[in-house]
Amino acid sequence: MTSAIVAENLWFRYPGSAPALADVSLEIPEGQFLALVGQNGSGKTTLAKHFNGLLRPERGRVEVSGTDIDGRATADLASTIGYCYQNPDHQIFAATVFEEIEFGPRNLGVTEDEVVRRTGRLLDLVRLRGEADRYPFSLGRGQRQKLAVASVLAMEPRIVIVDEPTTGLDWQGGQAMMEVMAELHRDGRTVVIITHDMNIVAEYAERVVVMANGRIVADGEPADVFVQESALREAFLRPPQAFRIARERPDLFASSLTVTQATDALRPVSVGVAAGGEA
Amino acid sequence: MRDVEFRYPGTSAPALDGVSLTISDGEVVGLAGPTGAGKTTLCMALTGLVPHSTGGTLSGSVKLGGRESRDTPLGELLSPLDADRALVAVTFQDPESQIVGMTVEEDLAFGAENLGVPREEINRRIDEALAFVRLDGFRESFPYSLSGGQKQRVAIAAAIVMRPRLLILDEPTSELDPQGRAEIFELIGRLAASGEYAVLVVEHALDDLAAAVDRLVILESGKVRFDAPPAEVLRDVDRLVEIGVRPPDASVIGIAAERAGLLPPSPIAFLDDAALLAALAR
Ligand SMILES: Nc1ncnc2c1ncn2[C@@H]1O[C@H](COP(=O)(O)OP(=O)(O)OP(=O)(O)O)[C@@H](O)[C@H]1O
Ligand SMILES: Nc1ncnc2c1ncn2[C@@H]1O[C@H](COP(=O)(O)OP(=O)(O)OP(=O)(O)O)[C@@H](O)[C@H]1O
Ligand SMILES: [Mg+2]
Ligand SMILES: [Mg+2]
Repeated sequence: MTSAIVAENLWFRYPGSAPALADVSLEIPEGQFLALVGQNGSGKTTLAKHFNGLLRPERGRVEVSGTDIDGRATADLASTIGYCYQNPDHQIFAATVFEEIEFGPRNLGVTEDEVVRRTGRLLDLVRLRGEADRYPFSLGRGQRQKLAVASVLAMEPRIVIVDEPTTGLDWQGGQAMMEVMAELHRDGRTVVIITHDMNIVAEYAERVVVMANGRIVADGEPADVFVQESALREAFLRPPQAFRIARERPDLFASSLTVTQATDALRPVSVGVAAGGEA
Repeated sequence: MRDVEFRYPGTSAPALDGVSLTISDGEVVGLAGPTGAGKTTLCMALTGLVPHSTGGTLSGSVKLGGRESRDTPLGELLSPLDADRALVAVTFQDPESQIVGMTVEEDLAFGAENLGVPREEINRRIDEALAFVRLDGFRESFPYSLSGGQKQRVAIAAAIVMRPRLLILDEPTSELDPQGRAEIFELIGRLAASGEYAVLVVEHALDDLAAAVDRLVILESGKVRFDAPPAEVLRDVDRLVEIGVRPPDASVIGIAAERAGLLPPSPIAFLDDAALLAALAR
């Protein structure tokens, strides 16, 4: 199995500050759905920007799809690895929503027919069809977020990194966005999201990597990481409410991670009671 | 606010549609609702920005500290009622757009300077506010180079420095880590306990909000759908889901536990995991 991303012993420091990355190593297999979490300022965005060369390490190396990216321009990597900024406004530049989405594939030399097909499909996917001719900065924050994601996906990268995909979206918008991510994952793509929402981690991620102070302090399946109390404390993280409830009462909720699992776990009890107690 | 209807210029659907709402001194009110429900518009109406800066048509009555918003020029409307304290301070959703200084200190001093607070007092308040938001070492930092969540905390600290009678926080935690969220809510609790601040907090998620507020207001399409103590509002999880507001896991699981016969039926919802676990242990 090839790796989508290999980061080896990365060190990085912004001018005049303590190291934002201190010897970070991470290997992400192709097709994995990974969530990068950690406290504000722990280095998540800094790490993600190393994956596509937006930032270059002082020491260490990054491989994308088996190739060292040292010396390769970020623009050349765009068809392989797409990165969506934490603040969509750092990315948006075009005069209309349509032009914003078509810019990437057009720049890659994709045929005109294909550009139009992709742009149309993405407008539908993120539900911005009705806003195609609008000036992007006149959209609400949530809509700008969806536009930024769409314009990255238009290049059809095998690896998609989205920095806080659901910030600024409401519950339904967030679920719709995560369904887009899940669909990319089902399609075999590697998906890396950065998030503070532990409900999303519990629901979608196969693997969660926890950062604190420029280092990785925990790495594993959500259920395993959520019980690593010292790492969570160091990273100022709290597992989802449903998990915290299930953890105290495994007799009732087994090993539930999400609210759906927890309420489902109660169901056999009620059926059992109604049927005379044979749960 | 009484029977407030508001339309932005050139729009036909009202952004606020018959909203009545009272916030008393010292009260902590949570405001939630899906995107476009009118939460930010309501916040702007409580600062006079709606309609004074936005234009548009407002009917009904908005009174701030006894002054009728429509009849009072913005400058006068927001002029402090007490020395050294702003009437209202707001942090809006995008923290970066609110940065005014070249250092965190300048950013925090700005509002209080405009209120005419003496320099020493400002310094004292800045120290306190930075400690409140866990940014003690960042006084001299360049605000734009902070991480997303750090910027959000600077915005909150800048509002606290003005000691407002009403503090409005429009999605103050959207980019904060969970502990940061918990701390902001703990901070809101402390502000409330001091009895000196009324607080209006806007949030998409009710997980931390519910346990922190006296009253929960749910907006949908510019209309107030709920205005009651959170323990009452959260009984109606089905309606909340329909509106598009995610109820806390504890409320949903609590109701499921009642249906499963594990808990006696109750008119009161569980606001967080601690409350539910305590009931299950009984
Ligand atoms: N452009 C910059 N110049 C200087 N320091 C920076 C810059 N960007 C980030 N930093 C610092 O580097 C550290 C890591 O920041 P980073 O943005 O990677 O954190 P993060 O984990 O993404 O945080 P958040 O959850 O708040 O987005 C922080 O201490 C931050 O203040
Ligand atoms: N400046 C404006 N001009 C015209 N319409 C506007 C303006 N600002 C907001 N609106 C509209 O008013 C309605 C309420 O918007 P508002 O920003 O108050 O919603 P919100 O509840 O704060 O949403 P969000 O959760 O996305 O922040 C929406 O339909 C929005 O499109
Ligand atoms: Mg970040
Ligand atoms: Mg808003």
